[in-house]
Amino acid sequence: MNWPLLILAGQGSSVEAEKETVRMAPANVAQKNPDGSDLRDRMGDFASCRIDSVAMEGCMVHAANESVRTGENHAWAFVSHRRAPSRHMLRPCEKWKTVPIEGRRTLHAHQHRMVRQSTVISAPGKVLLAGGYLVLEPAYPGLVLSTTARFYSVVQSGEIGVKGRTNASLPSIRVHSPQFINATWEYLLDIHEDRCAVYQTRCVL
Amino acid sequence: MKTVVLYTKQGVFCNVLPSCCTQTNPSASYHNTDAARNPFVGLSVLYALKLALEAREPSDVVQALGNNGLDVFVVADNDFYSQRSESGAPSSAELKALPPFKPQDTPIRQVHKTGLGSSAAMTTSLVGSLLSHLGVVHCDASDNFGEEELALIHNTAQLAHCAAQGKVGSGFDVSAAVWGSQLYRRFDPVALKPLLDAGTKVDVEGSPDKSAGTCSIELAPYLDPRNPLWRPSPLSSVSKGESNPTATEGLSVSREASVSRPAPLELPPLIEMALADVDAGSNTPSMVGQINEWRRKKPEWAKQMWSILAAANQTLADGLLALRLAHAQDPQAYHTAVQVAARHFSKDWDQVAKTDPSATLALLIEVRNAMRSIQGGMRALGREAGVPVEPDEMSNVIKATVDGSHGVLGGAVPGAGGYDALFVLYLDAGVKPSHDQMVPLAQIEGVWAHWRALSVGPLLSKAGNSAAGASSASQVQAALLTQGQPSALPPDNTIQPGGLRSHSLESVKGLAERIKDA
Repeated sequence: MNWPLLILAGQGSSVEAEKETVRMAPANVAQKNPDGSDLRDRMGDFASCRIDSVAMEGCMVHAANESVRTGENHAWAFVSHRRAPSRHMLRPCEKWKTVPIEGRRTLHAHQHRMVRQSTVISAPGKVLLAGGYLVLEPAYPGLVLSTTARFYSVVQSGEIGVKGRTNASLPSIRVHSPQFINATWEYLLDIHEDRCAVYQTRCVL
Repeated sequence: MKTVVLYTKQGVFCNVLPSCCTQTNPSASYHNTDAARNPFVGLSVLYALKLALEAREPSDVVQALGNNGLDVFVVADNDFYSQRSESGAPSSAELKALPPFKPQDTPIRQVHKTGLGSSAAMTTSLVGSLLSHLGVVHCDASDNFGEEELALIHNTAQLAHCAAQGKVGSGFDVSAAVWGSQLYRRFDPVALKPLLDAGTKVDVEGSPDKSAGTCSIELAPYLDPRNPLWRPSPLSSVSKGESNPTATEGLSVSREASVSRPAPLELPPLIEMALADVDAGSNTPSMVGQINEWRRKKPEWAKQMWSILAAANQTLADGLLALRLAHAQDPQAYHTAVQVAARHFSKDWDQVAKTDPSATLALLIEVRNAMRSIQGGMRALGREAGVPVEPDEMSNVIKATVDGSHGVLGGAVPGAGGYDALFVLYLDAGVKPSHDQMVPLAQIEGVWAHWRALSVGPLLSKAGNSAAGASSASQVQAALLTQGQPSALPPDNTIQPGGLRSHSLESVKGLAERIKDA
């Protein structure tokens, strides 16, 4: 079957899948939209579609809308996290999640190219309104206001043949600070059975 | 091709070893001095990866890393960096005209920061984005994280930030990056001590130091959101004084909570914060050491000073909460009182209260007085200890702002003081106070623009809210319920939560363009 490769957000979540094919067994199909409308009628068309297994890992696809098939924008799917992400401490979180699919137009034109999925997280700055010095002791609270100014971090899967990859045998995480001159750091990840090592490369990317 | 998929279930050790696979020619022109070691970046990557390997099946993590690894882009709103040029500090209109995430045209070590906590915000967003991308945490349909997830990100970011600084700092900057506006109490440094003692660092490839620090401790038991050491306690190893819970905190502890989260503290409606970036020629070095030295030498003085400041801080926190309650009980009366107060200089409010008394105005006066007390206390502290906590040059511009603009509650030098920044709180009823007055922010910025003794430039940032979940709105509801009163306010769903947030790339203006150019 010639389905486009779908990239859904929802990283880190396992697939009810055979390899890259997500099969939505009736048991997995959501009965209701969050707004209460019935979804079952629409499910017939989506019995099988190729899903990027990395992006969908850990998620269960419950439903997808028409646009997933027709290749229009505003495609969405419902996924939920089937499995606790942590062996140690995190409980399963069975949350509904609406997942936007980015770059559908590009996908349509170049179905062979993967669209990069982005995780974007921001954190605000701070102003210590009152409590300077005292705040070092838990007995004294500090009055802290966050700012509307934010720091953003965007994570994307590396593209094939990424510029400046120095060591093809190890995966790396490259951190870029594009507001500054030459501010890129590359970290090689040496993950073994009994240890993991992270070290910075010497190279300009 | 994946070459590194050998795992056991017995925890993954994190030996930070120098590489044995060096480049063939390290002396070639690839040496990047601008991107020298950055421990905040390196340790964020290391600890996020290590936690992911503990929390998930390692093969899942390797899969999430993909065949080509990850590209991460860290970018800051312009307010984090001073946008001054030779012609001085830009006006707010000029700042608004700058492109989003404007490149600074300088190596990172030469940047002029504005003191909003860029390293903590960077560390926290980087740790949060990696934990999210590697599937350790998940956000809900409205892009918000749950409290447990936020607490895990908080604890991990505190670890990375403390390890990068080489010490456990006060920690409120990372806490603000996760939880937004809040009444912060420091966690016990013991929570992180075993991990920091393990001494992990990120080595440069090919480093000759073959015995680099190893960290074979598992992070998860320490960073667990339910680890009680993260809950601030008067029994904490750094506690000296007596703990006095504030009303703000009292209204938050009633919530059922499995994780430690600070009490939210938001500015009351129609009260705003204005920030200025001040350039006095050089950055103020940390004065913590000198203040501590003075406390050792003059313990009696210090004790008294600390209790005066603690009382004033508490009055300010309680006053802000009382104003929010007043607004919830009678929004119309609150609005009217703020409009009246906004037409007058705050030094004239006592006079206004005689002819036009209201509960809200009385509370505004209380908050004004608390801010004066805090400012006075911090000035005295600096004078006694012989350090510029609030130097005269700064006091002068703050006084001119408070006395020269209508409806300004007060101002101060934030945090530990110095010459770098100042803030004021002011009333903004959303309308021109009267036909012959400019809008409040324009009055304030007018004073700054004409100030010659120091270069005082506005920032665009305002005060943000608390993280979603337990907002200050629920605090207010709790307070009203204890008084047997229902709130007059409908729930407001338009409020943008502060704290850590998730976005789609397209929803952040200018972000996709900035990282595409990278």
